[in-house]
Amino acid sequence: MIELGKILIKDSSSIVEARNKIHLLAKDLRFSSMSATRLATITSDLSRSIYQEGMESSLTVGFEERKDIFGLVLIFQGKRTDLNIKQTELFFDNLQILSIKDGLQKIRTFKYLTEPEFKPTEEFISMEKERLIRLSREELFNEVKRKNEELLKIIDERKKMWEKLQDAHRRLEMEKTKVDRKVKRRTQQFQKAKEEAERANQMKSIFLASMSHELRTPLNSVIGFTGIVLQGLAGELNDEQKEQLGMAYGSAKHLLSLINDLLDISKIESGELKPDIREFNIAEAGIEIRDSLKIMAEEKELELIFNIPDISIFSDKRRFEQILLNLVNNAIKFTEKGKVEVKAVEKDENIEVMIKDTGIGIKKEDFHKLFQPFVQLEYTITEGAGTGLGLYLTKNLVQLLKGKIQMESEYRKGSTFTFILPIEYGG
Amino acid sequence: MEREKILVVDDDKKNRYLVSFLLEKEGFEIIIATNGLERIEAAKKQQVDLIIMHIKMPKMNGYEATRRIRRLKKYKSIPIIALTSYAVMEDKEKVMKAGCTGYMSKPITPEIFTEEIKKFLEVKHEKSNSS
Repeated sequence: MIELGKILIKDSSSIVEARNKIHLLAKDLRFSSMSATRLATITSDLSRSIYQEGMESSLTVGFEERKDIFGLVLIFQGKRTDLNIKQTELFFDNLQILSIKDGLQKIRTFKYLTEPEFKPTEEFISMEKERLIRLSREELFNEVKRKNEELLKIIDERKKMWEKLQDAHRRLEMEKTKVDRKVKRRTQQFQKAKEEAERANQMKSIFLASMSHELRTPLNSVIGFTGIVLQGLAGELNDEQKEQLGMAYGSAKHLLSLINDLLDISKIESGELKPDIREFNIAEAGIEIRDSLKIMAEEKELELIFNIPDISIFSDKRRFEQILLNLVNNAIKFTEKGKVEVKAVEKDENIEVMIKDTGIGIKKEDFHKLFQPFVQLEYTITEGAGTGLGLYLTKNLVQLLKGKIQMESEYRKGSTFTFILPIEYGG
Repeated sequence: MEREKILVVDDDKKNRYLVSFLLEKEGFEIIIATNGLERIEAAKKQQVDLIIMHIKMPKMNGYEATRRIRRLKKYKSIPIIALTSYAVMEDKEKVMKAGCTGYMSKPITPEIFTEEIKKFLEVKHEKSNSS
């Protein structure tokens, strides 16, 4: 077969195109005008029947020489046709239907030229080839039109998208200004609130500091003079007077320690109390505490054991002593018989100090209350009880020195308080 | 033997009375001043054996007063004991730096107070005897 060309059947306009091209070719091949029209109609019908969107359908056109006579070959390839091709078959000299895979079908038609002596020249063939390939004006126009429409659609979509973007942008800008304004206002409010809080806190600290000073001054003379009278320096007292004045003396001292604890706490809370860090020996600090509590332990016939190694640490000596004093003092206060043992060990970068007693202990359900201010457990209220601030202050002091405090206890068996401080405060 | 003289400086009348009462009971002679300036004047006028100084005072605080007294030739080595309240206990180093011999914190515990003062005087005697 001498192939002239292949027309792709891809839409209704290409079917019209195929029809027109075959009509022209038929005329050139000197088919009668009736036959040419009929050929064109069959082309149109067959093309339409094999066409399906999404499937590659085509019409291949060529010549074939059979018994020295040329004939026209049309090959329709596409979906299986549902046309009754009986009539069509009669028009051609030969018609074959070939199935190829995937539901594709090939209809091959052959029709002898009307003039047996017609031989297609090279020139004729190339001319027809060119005509078949060439897009018709209509097709060109449609192509341009389609492209144009696509472009217009794209432009339109872009435009809409742009507008949407613009809109979103505008809304965002508006939202942003709103948020900015809000943030600014909030920041100002926070700043103001912060300043007010700081001022209030400062006022509180100043108030507490001067208040406790003011309270202490008269208390100093209460304690001093009560002490003088109690000692009998201003004349002998009878036993009843001694006992009653002794109670007043105890209460005054209690009040003083309450004020002192309160002052310390207020200083820690306001951040006014800065640790005074320097090197000191904890064994020496321990001895000072032991000496000051020895009498208290002896009075209760308790064994007071200090086992602190000769280690120097960088911390606040006064606060270290205050912590140790509070805890050992508590241990002695809440222990009726047995012993109070203080032990220190070096662990990694820390020093661990344990204060163990054989005292009244703490019930499990009360553990959480222990380090809170003004909590005194019913069974721990003994004579000359604490301020209710002692452990709270101790915890605050430990934290001030970047340490932590913990407690283990068994009710009626004893308690162990452990505080852990870094050996080097700054380290 | 002549009674030892102790200069007590305190702006609080009750405190002055308390300290003087305790020390007079022990047989000391008490000279009183109500502020730092007065004390310097008092110290200049007559030789005292020990000074008890309240740190927080109007007109001139204890630190400044101590420094000034230490400049006087006859007060180079006599004991100066600072009386500090709990609130300023952090300043104990400051007290020692200013030239104080020792410090005691308020409130005064009568049974301990006079004992402590006597100890400071004993140390002073030991020093003067050995020199």
